[in-house]
Amino acid sequence: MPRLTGTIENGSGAFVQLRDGEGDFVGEVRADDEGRFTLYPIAGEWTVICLTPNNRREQHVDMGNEDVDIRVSA
Amino acid sequence: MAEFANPGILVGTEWMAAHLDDRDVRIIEVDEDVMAYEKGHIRNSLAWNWFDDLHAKPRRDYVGQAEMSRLLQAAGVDERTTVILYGGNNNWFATYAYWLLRYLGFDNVKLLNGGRKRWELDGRELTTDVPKFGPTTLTITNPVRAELRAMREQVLDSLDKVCFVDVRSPEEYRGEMMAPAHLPQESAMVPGHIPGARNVPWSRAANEDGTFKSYDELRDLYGTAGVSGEGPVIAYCRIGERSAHTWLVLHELLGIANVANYDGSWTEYGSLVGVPVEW
Repeated sequence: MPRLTGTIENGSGAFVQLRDGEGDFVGEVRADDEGRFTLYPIAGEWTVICLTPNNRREQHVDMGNEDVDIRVSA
Repeated sequence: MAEFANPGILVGTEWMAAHLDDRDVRIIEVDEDVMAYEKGHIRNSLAWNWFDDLHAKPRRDYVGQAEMSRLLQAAGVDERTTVILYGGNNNWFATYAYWLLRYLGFDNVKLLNGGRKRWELDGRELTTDVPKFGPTTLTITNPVRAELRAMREQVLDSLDKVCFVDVRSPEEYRGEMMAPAHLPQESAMVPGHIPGARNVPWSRAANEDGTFKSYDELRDLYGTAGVSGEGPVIAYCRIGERSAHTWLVLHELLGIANVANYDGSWTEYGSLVGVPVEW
């Protein structure tokens, strides 16, 4: 199972939502104190939504069979 | 815009903030992430561990009325107390605790709409202080509401007769995944879904901030999927927690009378020998 890891700039404790290609919420994790998170999506198109007070960021991710690491900028 | 069938089961963050010191309110966090409470929680809230506190051991089952009564007693809940549940991940596990309390006959319970996420996104206070409340003598006296829970034999007898709602993700419904994408992929023996089940992922009932969608939006969501509520409905997922969220939406918010949660869900059904399965 490939891993999707990421680091959110200024994203300490952010709510990190994984949504599938149809926009459906699949899961949510919390970023750690450094804004890092890990998810386990299968191959396909996904959207990562990062929520902090007064801030919402969204990033599309194409997952294959390899691990992917993303950076979500402020 | 129409109102929820039972709007009183929800409280907002503003109401919650104004009742943190209300002696007749007991705030309890039930979270998928059992470490979340220790890192910071709503002031004057207690935590129930979704597994250690609410599951019977060693069998696969929930605590009964006596154990739940003892849990409420230890939380300082008496006949005047209203329990307010909240948790993370769109109140996923908090709604399961809500369903369990109602199943066991305890009705003085409400849900913080949006749960931990809405509270934190509002920038509201968290604390690591753990409050203490004196034990009470509360005993649940209402009968267990068996009609809120579907067991294996009922499910097998209901194939082709009731409206099954599979509330897992489309990927799990189609048999491409065995569990949500943020969890380890252990589950049932085979992938798939109960034949004829409608797939309405539980999370479609929630806004991005974890609050529930409006009555009209929810009615359209389930109505379009063929969940009219004119006949019995059985909701299921993987282990019965996400389907408790859908049970609350259908039964409490939309007012559909005959809705049961099949908590055995896919980990049970998908491991049964000889039962029909669709992909």
